[in-house]
Formats: sequence, structure tokens, C-alpha cells
Amino acid sequence: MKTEIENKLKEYIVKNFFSGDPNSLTSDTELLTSGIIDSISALEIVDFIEENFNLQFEAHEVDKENLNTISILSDFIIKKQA
Amino acid sequence: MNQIVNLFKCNLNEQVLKVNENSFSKGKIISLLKNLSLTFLSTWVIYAFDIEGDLNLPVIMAIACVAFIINALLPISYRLFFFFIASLVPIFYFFSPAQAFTFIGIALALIGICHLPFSITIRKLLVVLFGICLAFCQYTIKKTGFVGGLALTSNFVSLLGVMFMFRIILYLHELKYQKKKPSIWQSLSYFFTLPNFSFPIFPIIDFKLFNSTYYNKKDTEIYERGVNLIILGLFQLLFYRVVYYLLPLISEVDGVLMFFYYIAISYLFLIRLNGLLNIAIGILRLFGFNLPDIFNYMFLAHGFDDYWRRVNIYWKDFMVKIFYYPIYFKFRKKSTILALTIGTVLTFFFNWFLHSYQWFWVLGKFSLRGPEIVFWSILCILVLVAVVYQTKNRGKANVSHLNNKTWKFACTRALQIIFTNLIIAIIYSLYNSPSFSDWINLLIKIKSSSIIEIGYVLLIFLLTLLSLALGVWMYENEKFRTLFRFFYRSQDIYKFAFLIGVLFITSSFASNLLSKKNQRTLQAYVSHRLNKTDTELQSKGYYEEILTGNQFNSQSWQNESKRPARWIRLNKTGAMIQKDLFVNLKPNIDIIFKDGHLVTNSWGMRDKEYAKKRPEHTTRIAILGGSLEMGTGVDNNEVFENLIEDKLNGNRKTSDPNYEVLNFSISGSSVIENIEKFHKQVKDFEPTHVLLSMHEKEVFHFQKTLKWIKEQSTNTESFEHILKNSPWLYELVNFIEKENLSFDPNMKEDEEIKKGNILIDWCINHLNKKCVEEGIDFSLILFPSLDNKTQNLNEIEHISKKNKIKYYDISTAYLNYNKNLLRIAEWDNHPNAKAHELIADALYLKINKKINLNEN
Repeated sequence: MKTEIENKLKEYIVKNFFSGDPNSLTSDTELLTSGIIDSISALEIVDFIEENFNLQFEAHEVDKENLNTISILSDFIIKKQA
Repeated sequence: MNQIVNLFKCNLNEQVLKVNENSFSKGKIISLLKNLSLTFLSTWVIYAFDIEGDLNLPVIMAIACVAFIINALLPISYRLFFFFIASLVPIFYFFSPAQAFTFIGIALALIGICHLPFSITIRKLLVVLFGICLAFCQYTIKKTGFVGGLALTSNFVSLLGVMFMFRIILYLHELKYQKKKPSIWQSLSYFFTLPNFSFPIFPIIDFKLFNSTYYNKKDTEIYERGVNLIILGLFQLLFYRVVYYLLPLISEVDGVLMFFYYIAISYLFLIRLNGLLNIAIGILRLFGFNLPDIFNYMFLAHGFDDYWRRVNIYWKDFMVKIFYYPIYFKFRKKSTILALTIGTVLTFFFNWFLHSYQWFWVLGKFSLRGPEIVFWSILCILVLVAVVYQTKNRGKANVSHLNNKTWKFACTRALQIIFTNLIIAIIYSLYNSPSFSDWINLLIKIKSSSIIEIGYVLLIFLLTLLSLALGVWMYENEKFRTLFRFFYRSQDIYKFAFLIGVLFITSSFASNLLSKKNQRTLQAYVSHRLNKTDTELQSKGYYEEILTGNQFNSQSWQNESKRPARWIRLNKTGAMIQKDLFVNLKPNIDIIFKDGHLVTNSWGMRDKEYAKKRPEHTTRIAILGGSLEMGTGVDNNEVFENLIEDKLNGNRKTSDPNYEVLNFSISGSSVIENIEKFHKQVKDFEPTHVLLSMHEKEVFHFQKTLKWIKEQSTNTESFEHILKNSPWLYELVNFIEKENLSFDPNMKEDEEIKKGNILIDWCINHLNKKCVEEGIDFSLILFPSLDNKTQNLNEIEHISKKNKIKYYDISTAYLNYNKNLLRIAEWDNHPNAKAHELIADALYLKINKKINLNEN
């Protein structure tokens, strides 16, 4: 399940935010700290997750702790869905 | 015993303990010694160049240097407690023990309120109430200088402000959402951070980030990152010192080339903020807080939203977390674009408000300047347009990353960088302008550009574009990127070479290799002085009138910020009378002016009582001057003219005449007002001698009075009235018209001084002639100055010699004295009691030689 979520997220991020070589984007690539996504694009990812994974974010949850890598994001989605 | 020791222990997570074992391998010891050496050398450079001495940075760095090595040697679990203790040292260093304990008590009370067993809303309300009480203290201190018996100073409350104004917001935010309660040492360390005490603007560190990055990597790696950031900050502050002196005066801007030069230099002033905040974060890394960088190459921003992301990232993150996201989440269900728009606009509003709020805690008053509001509004619109555009077009372009390697991409990106920085620099110059009219005047000056100037600007633009494009292209192409890595990788040898090289510059050996002229130039960079703009603003009393938007970039504001509100200008005290050109003090007043006791006699002189008619067998000396001669900020009996009268009478022989020294000086008087005073008042007192005091800023005072006369001339009736009352002014006005000597606001400084000196020459000659007609001996005093800039009384001396007018040159009276100890206050260049003594001694020696003691 985690792999499926990760693939979906990666596809979305590559299409919308990542300007480098897609192969270099891994599950552990830092998204916020490396500047791949910023505070505005983080909100777009939130909208994408809410639409595709049927969950609701709260404002304080949009931070590095939950969004910094695809792997962390997937864990957060699984935890929220549980 | 163990239980007591455990109190000082911080329970760190296993990951931290695993990465940082308490063992000292050879490699670790070498790394620690290397980082300690670099920190020590950095501290030495800070001391040698007195970098940010007004902000106590040298002291803080010295404490950090010692505490760093103790911290590194302690078991990891006790380091947080030690950091808190080390952070208390500056409090006891800067305050008296009573003040220090009060300070700590207030801080602990505020932290305590956050942990009271009430709901978070009630705790927030209590914190706000506490804040209002402190704000009231800050306001009262600025008004009266102290609060109650505690004698709390403005710095005291400002420091509390720096500690709590933003961090308590983030702290309460975390207490609301964090599942795990923070330990006592985490909370205390967060607020009592050691570098606090040197930074009026401290990075807004997130509480969660502060704790999560604590020793999250190997300690030696974190220390090295800290040292690197300190050295980078040091480099930036040294660079700023060079840039600071390069800023031309607005009046010197006379075309498109100078305009771009002016905005580029003033924009580069941001490098100071970079340097200071980098050093603050660097110091924290020395204690294990592996905080991320605070700036991300802001001068390489390629869009307005990108600029907002790169400049002061901590501030941006704070705004996003506390304002932007909650606002966005409130409105996003209606429409994403609407939510983005409302979020951005409101965030920028709070952004402006919090900047003002920050200045209230630092300076004691809100900054509500129009240019500042317009600056934030323009930036808000630019960022909003960029954000909405990007959101709407996200994913549409579907550009391959391979396109980044092309020249087209490199040129486009270079253009974007230039355009973004240019616009920001232009609106930043608005932010720095005292008023809109000043800024508009600056823009208007572009009109007077020659074709050659425009050609130069285009050439510079093309060269910048090409260099940037080349840089972008090389960065995007892997085989050249290694070059950047070479420069980027901070080799230890470069760090040592940089610090030792900089220290070498300050050595007497290096100084001896230079010519005298170059030694003086070097000295200007090594020691801290005001640049042309700040010197002019200080001499105009600018900082007494308004708070400039450029507070942080101006050196003067730091001194000015300490000025209590009761230190107002003389014309605001109600102690002055003005009738056209004649200005006098009110008779028989007894006031406190700038903490000096100012008493006037029945004639409105700041002096003892004298009869109008000169007594028999008396030498009567009339002194004409401005605020320096009037004795601003000292008591009547401390003014040099009183001291000199006592000296002359105390040392006279019985056959000598009695001496009376009458002080006709009053703040803000130029030669013109002094001539008027001579005609209207001085000659009636039958002086035997008139001494007119001259300063290096004579031209500026002169210009101010001429401006006033010019304004009056627009109203024919009132101007004729003035001329009727002061017939001598006719002659001056005619002379100005005949010789075309009127001042133009766009005039260059050199021309202004040249014209001013011709007019001063005329005025001195006029007064000399009038004195001769009245049988009065006329002389000039070349008065000493406490400004940092070099004295320039040569022209006055030249005029005196040319016209064979006697002068007493006491301009070197302060030689060999520390000028800082001769001012009435750090923020005010008027001479204090000691300086008046020196003036009196120097003038007495000169007068005693030249005034005939037997004349009557």
C-alpha cells in the first residue's frame, strides 16, 4: 500500500514541481528543505492528497514533519487513514 | 545526590545519543581544536574591527567561544542545561545583579504563564496582558527614562522584547499541538538563547525546529557548520563595512548611472542583516542546534515569490505557519485562488504590522511611515501575482529538465534574476526613503542623464546578463558544476587564510607598509565610523525628528534608539522666542533640557544677570554661536563661557579690568541669525569684543536659514516686513542675486560648499565691518567637533586670513581624548561638561595671549 501511495505522489510531484531528472527523485529526497516544494506548492499537494486519499488536513499539519519526503508523506497518509 | 544531578539532565532520544557517543577519538579532538581555533580567530577579527560593537557582538562572541569548548567536553545529556547557564552570563554582564535577577524573574514568569493549568485560550490572554504591561513599561521608559524604583532601562525591556515578541507565539502554538511536553531545559534554552543579547532582530526560530535539530547529526559536523556560518557572516559584515562607505548622498545622484549605483549600494546594505543573522545561527550550531540556513542566496532570486522564499526564511516560515496556512484553510473550500489571495494579502498586512511591532520593542515606538506601507503593499501585489500565475499554470508547461541545460534557459533565468533584483532594489529604496518626496526626487534625477551615461548603464546591464547567464549555464551542466563545488566546498585552509589575512591588515606591520594617506583610508575601514549619509542625518538632527525606515541599516539608529523621548529639540520645549530672523531664549526660564539645567537671565541669555550698560573698567566679551556654545545638555555653570569668565577673572592682576563673558548663543543659529542678533541685541550691551563661533557645518546651517528666507520671499508683504526690520538683509539678498549664489536642491555637494563659503565670507566681512564701526574687536572661534568625520575648518581659516580677521583656533581641543567620553550621550554629539572644560582651557590660552588684558 505504501509503495502505491509513493508512486502516485511521485508522479504528481514530477509532473508539477520537479524540474530535475525524474530518476533522481527518490522516496527519501527532501522536498521542503531542498526547495522542490515550497509553502504554496505544499498546499497544492495537500489538496491533491485530500482529493485522492480521502482525508482531511489541518493547517498545523502542513509542515516539514509530515511533508518533507515522499516516504514521510506516505506514512502520514496511512496514519491518517487508519 | 544522583537525583539532584539528574535534575540538570535532559532526556534526549536514542537516535541523538547513538550518533553522538561520549567518546573522544583522535579525529574528534582534532576537529574540536580546529573549530575552536576558527571560532577564536573569528572572535579576534570581531574585536579587531569592532564589528557591531554597539550591539555587544564582541562580548557575545567571546562568551560563545569559551562556552563552546566547555559544552563540547560535557556529557551530551547535560549540554542543554549548560547552554542555559551560559546564556545567563550576558545578562549578568550587561545588567547590575538586581536588574539581572529582575530580568530573569520576568522572563520565567512569562514562560510560567504558558504552563498554567488553564485552557490555551486563557493562557494566551494572560500572555497578552503581560505583554501589554511590558509595552506600557517600554512606552513609559521612552517618555521618562525609567520605570518606578526599578530603574528599568529601555535596553532591559527591548531585550525582553527580543526574547519573547515572536518566540512566545510559536511556543504557545507548539504547546497547543505538540503531544509531548517539552522539558524545562528545552523551554529555558529556547528563550534564553545566548546570542539574543547581541541581536535586536533575532531569527524567529521555530520551537519544534529548535528541538528537533538538537544534535540530530554528529556533533563535530554541526560545529563545523556553525563555524562556517560564523565566518560567512563575518565576511558579509566586513563587506558591508566597505559598502557602507560607498553609499553616496541622495543629493549626489545626478543621472541614471548614479541612480543605479545608489540603489545597488543601498540594496547591498541587506548584507548586514545576512551577516548578523548568520552569526546568530552559527553560534547556536556551536551548541548543537543544527538549524538550517536562514538565507538562500537571496540575490539569485528569479521571481518575487522566489525572493520571498529566499530572504529570511525563518521569518517567512513563521508568517506561513501562524498566519498564511490558517487563513488559507479558512477560505479554501470556497475557492483555491480566493484563499491564496486572501491569505497573501492578510499575511502581508500582518507582515507590515509585525515589523512595526518589532520596532516598538526595539525602539519604543511604532514605525508607521508611508513609504514602508507602500513598500509592503507593492511587494504583496508582486508576490500575489506570481503565486496566482504559478498556481494556475502548474504542470501545464511540462518542460523537460534537459531544457535547463540550454543557453536559452540560462539567458532567460539571468534576465529573471536581474529583473527581480532590480525591481526589489527600486522599491527597497522607497522603503529606505524618509518620505515619498525624497524618493520621487531620487527618481526625477534620472531625467538629467546624458547619452554616454545611458550607454554605460546598458553596457553594465549586458555584462551582468552575460556573466549571470554563463553562471547559470555552467551550474546546470554537470561537467562545469564541479567548479561550483570547488568554490563551495569550504576547505579549512581557506578559512584560516581568510581570518589570518584579515587580522594581518589590522597589524602595525601591515600599516607601516602603506603611505600615510592609505593608512588613514585603511583606518576608516578598520574602525567604525558613520558614512556621509548618516553623518549628514545626524548633523541635521534627523533622528530626533523621525524614525527612518532604514533603521536597521543605518548605524546612527542604534545610538538614536537609546535616546529617551524627553530629549526633544529646543524649539519643542517652548523656551524659544522667534521674531522673523531674531531668535532668543525666553527670559527667566528654568528648565531641564537634554538632562542639563538651563536657566536664562532677564535678557533671555543662558547666562548670569548682567547690566545692559557695560560697567567701568570691564572687558566685555560677547559670544555668538549655536547649540554647542549655548551648552546643550550641560548645566549653566558647566558651559565653557562661564568657565572662561571665571578663569579670566581668577587669574587677572588687580590692575587688570574685570571680565564679563556674555553668551548670546542659541540652538540652530547660523551666521545669518548671529548677525541679526548682533544688530538687534548684542551691540546694545556695549561689548568690547565679539567672538563668532564657526563650525565645520556652517554651510549647512547657513543653507537652512537661506531656505527659510526664500520661503518668506514668496509672501511679498511678510518679506518686505522682514527686510524693513533687518535692512542689512537687503545687502545679502542683493549679493546672492548678483552673484547667482542661491541654493538649488539638486546642487552637488561641492558646489553647495563653494557657494556657501562665498556667502559666509560676505557675512563675516559684514559683521567685522559693523563691529569696527562700533569700535568692537571682532574675532572668530574655530570650534572643535565631536563628529567622527574629519574636521574641515580650513576654508574658514582661509577666509579669516584673507580678510585679516583674528581667529582663535581651538579645533584641536579634543585631541588625544576619546571622543566617546566627551559627548553628552551616545546618540548626541554635543560636548559634555568635560568637553566644555577642554574648550574653556583651550580658549583661555588663546584669549589670554591675544586679548589685551589692560584694555577697557
